[in-house]
Amino acid sequence: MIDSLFNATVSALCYSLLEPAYKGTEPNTGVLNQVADFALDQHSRMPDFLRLPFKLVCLFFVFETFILSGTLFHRQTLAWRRSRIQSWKNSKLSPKRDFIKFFDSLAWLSWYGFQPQESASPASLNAK
Amino acid sequence: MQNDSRKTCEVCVIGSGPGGAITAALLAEAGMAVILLEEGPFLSQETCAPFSVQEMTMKYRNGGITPAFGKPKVTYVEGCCVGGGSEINSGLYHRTPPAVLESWQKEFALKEASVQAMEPYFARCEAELSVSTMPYSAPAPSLKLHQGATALGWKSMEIPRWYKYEIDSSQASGYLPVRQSMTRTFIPRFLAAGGTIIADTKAHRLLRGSNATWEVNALQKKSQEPINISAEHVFICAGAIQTPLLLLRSHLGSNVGRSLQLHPTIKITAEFPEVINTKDLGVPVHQVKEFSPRLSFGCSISSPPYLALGLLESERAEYAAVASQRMANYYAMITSSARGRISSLPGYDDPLVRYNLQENDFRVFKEGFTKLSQILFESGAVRLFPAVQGVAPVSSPDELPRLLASVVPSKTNVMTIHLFSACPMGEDKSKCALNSFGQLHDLKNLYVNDSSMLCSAPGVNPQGSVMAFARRNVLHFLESRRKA
Ligand SMILES: Cc1cc2nc3c(=O)[nH]c(=O)nc-3n(C[C@H](O)[C@H](O)[C@H](O)COP(=O)(O)OP(=O)(O)OC[C@H]3O[C@@H](n4cnc5c(N)ncnc54)[C@H](O)[C@@H]3O)c2cc1C
Repeated sequence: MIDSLFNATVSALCYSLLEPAYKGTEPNTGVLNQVADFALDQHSRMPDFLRLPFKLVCLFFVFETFILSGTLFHRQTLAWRRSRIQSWKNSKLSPKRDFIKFFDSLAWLSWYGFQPQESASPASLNAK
Repeated sequence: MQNDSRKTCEVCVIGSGPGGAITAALLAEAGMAVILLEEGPFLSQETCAPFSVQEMTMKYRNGGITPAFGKPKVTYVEGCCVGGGSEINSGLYHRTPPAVLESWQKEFALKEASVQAMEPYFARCEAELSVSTMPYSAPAPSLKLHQGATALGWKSMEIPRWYKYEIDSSQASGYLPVRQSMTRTFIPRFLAAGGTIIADTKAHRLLRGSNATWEVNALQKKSQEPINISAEHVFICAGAIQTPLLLLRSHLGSNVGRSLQLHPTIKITAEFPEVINTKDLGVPVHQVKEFSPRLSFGCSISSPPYLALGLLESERAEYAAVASQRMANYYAMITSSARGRISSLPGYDDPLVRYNLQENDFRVFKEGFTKLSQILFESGAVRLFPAVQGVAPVSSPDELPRLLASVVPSKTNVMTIHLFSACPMGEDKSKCALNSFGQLHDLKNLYVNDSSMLCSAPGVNPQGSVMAFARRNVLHFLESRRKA
């Protein structure tokens, strides 16, 4: 039960964190699933004494979301999820910031790492 | 491979990174019966693409997630496979700078470590690892750094690497660069000399056996089967963090794990108006050494995944999809006098690493951001994305004060790939764990021969120092045995 909640939350986090990458287009769900699996695998690889605290922070994240919205994080709308993420990102508490930063780094690293070679190369060279 | 769980040998070497691989090979070539124990898997270089996400999961310790706790946290990475860090690193080679050797002799009473005394060990390593400069033009991001620094009148140079360049007409450069990691050099030599490798097996504790031998208690990672190795001599070469951890767990030695040093590093991702980055970019090779050892600059891996990480703090990771061909990652590396601590946590396998930067280090970081930005703007960069949380990209030198105001511990991303010195060598027993040749003070037949033996941060890429000292210590060991 706790594990499946953790897995669902991590997947939803990765999907939400990567929204700027696929905004306005059909997301490549194959790659998104690979990203979520990678994030979960990396959690199981991290130093053993950090795994449980990380899970607990995640459960607190779910709990806080539930108190604020009456729904679980992964059942929320994308916009709502992104605003929760942003508020944790800017939190004064470092465990909150670290939790988001951890998944943010893994999501983006693997998003580019798992792209098929062609689409990984720049779509356009126009400066933003 | 042997299957029984009890093994006997003359020497057990724990860890097969640059320190362990050269130790094991030289001992086996001298005719000794050597077992080389390695926690990670035995994978060839071709198993995965260099600097890829797959490589992180297959060859890095903890998948590359290893923080040192302090303000700020410093993230570090280490190799965990046969060959250790040499299988995943960039191959940039330096000798230990003369001023550093001098300070080690003075401050740690390290014997026989003058420039002249060390010369043959460095020279031999350079020949055996084919240390050389590139026979073709360096990658564009590397040249950008060089041009910017040179225009400012600062010393910048191409750093030689342990690479062989095989002629290959299918490559754009006409050469296939082949990294001379341990699985290509000392591991094959070790096996050819009759040595035994036991991979996927972690040493957990060292105990004194009977008849002045040592017992190494290890566990095979997949089967969880215990293996006990009885050896006359043990060389611990498990790297800068795991070597002191193993000693602490075994309650052996003094001054162990309390003096960890590293090269704290900050990063900037630079955007240029023209294409400078290609899929087959390879490893950038220039470094700016004008302010070394206090501060050095270089260019790091700049594939889209690593560019995205560089852009993360300014919340622009998606921009890597659009502009990766015009971008590259650069770093400023400092030499800090801070010393960290490694502790063994009861009930856990992984160590707690604590490291606190000193107040002055943030002044040097600010200088690093300023000077690196100057170099990059001088070489034509149009936008810089510093790895400082919440800082918007910087488009001109006038905007640097805005960046510098945010360079504070809670916002600055600090990382390192160079760790050492948690078991320093030298005759000063008040601060050294090892004697001048790597033997633990007052413990017979037990040695450390890896990056943890370096007395302090060398201020340059460390593998050259690790291997030269490891060679020196093994030859000293063999010579002492011969005399005895
Ligand atoms: C990404 C990266 C890039 C780098 N680039 C450069 C560069 O360009 N130039 C340079 O000079 N240096 C570079 N370095 C640093 C260099 O790789 C290290 O300084 C060097 O590998 C240290 O060698 P070592 O033998 O001390 O330890 P390691 O290379 O860390 O090897 C230790 C080995 O011991 C094994 N081990 C650990 N504990 C146990 C145990 N209990 N039982 C059995 N086995 C164990 C580990 O799995 C590992 O394989 C880089 C490092 C990294 C991570």
